Amino acid sequence: MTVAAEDTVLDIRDLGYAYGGSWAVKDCSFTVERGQVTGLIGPNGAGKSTLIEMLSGTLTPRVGSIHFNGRDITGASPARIARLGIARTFQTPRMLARLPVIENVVLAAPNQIGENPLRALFWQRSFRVQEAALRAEARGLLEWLGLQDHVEQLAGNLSGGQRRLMEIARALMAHPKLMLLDEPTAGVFPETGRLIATRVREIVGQGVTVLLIAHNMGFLSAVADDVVVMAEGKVLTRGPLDVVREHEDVIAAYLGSASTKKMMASTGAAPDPGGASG
Amino acid sequence: MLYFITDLLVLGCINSIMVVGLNLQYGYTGLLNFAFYTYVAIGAYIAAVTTIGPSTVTGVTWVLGWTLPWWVGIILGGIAASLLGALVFAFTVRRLRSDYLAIVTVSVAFIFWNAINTYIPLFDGGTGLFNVPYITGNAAISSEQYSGIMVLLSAAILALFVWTSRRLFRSPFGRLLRATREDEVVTNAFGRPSWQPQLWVFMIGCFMAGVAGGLFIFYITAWSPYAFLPLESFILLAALIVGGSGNYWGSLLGAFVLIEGLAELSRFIPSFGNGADVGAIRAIIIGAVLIVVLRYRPEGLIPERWLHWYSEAPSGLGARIRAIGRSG
Repeated sequence: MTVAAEDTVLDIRDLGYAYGGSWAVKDCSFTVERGQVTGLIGPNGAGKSTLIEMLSGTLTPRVGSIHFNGRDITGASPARIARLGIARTFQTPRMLARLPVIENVVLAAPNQIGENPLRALFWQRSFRVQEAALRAEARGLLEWLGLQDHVEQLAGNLSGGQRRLMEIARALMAHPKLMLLDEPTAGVFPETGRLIATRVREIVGQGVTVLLIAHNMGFLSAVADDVVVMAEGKVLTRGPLDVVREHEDVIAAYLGSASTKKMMASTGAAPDPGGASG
Repeated sequence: MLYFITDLLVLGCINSIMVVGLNLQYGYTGLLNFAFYTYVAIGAYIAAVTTIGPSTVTGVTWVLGWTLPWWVGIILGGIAASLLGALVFAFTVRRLRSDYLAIVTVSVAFIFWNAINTYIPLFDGGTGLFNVPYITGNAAISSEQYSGIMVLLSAAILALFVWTSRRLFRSPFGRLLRATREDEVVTNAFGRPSWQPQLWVFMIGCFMAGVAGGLFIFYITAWSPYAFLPLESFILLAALIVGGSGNYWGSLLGAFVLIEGLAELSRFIPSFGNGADVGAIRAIIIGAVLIVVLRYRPEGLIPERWLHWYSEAPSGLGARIRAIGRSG
């Protein structure tokens, strides 16, 4: 169990988390490679969102480890993980509803000198230049994502699809090395979904690594270099989408049921109590 | 008549200082503090015992008994309130979700009220402090002249604190405060532990409370546990919500309209029955106004301005009033 190779951004080993007595994620191990889009798929209750919450620090793993660029971040606080360069979106978009869209985005920019209250009180000139630059950058990101008409609007008034776009702009504003996108196209108009796919590829082109959860196979085939399939808290298989979608365990996991027993046998897992609900 | 107006203005300015401080905590940052008046009381007591000198009356006792200048007393009162705020915050708020914060602050208010009321060596228990000297010292001065002096002093401090809250609000720090109020999960997820700005604001707000308490005790020259019943914090909160939280104009309006307009003026209702009825009517009116405002105008008389704190926007009083008209 050596620390990750150089092109491995994220190294997840034997990770486990339980809600009460039932394991949502158990013995989960995989890596995310630099400059790639890794898709995370699996049926409801597979543990994908729980995994994202552990990677972003909201949940503390019960067992296992997470290394980010070779650094152990297991159980670190969300704020610390964010400062190390992981930015995220949320499964249900979280707006700062009574703030304008642009302020939602600018907020995420790291190292803002004007966040020091003493500077805010006595030395406002010290952050004018930075603030102007950040606002220009945020405006550019919002235009790039097609939100140019909503820059000054209250974030609480955005539609569902616009919220997802704004969350991507906000995550980019943090200048991340790794982006975690939790269902970026859920409930989104197909046209917007295609825009998101294009933008995600462009983001990766800039050297950012992306790990995303998605259910839409069309979207995945457009963006993902590699797909990790989860079921019942474990990694079932991984590989290019075309290959894994033909995999019989994947078919079993998605269609459920009849072949569950066979799937369990083939992955060498003992059925654990309550695992199905995780 | 002039005395009536200056007296009203002094109390209005002092109450406004409190509401401006509470607005920093609740309006900007979303910290619901039902113990706010406890910090006012701490400021008042500390300002008094650091300036009044030792007790000369048998059976009347208080701690410290220093004879510092009045302005040092006021500043020390503010600092004491601020440090107490930091302590309460460190022990409670930091570990609790905001839902529970309200309950914790209510408990803090009751603990301090009972401790001060019962433990006589501290601040003379239930009798309280009295004969606190005027800030003008031994100069022969009428109460009319004194209230004139206090109007100037409290208005100047109010202006300073409004400027402070305006500067804090119109900055990236202000954005961080409002973001924390809206959703702490987001600020944490983007590298900003929410307790840091919250602690700052809690301390600054409590400092304002303490200074207001110092001004208050130097004006009315006496203070006892019956001056800071838990109801007072509720009245401040009601003033803030009615005026409009999240902006200082709403704070000022709430302080003057609700506390001054209704509460102080109700003293001049012709008395009928026994004297306690007037106090009861005051509480009833404030409660009723709060219910009506929350039902029909939950954002307050002057809602929060959210657009353009940044300098691209027009500034100045005229532009602000037009903006209020638009958003209303």
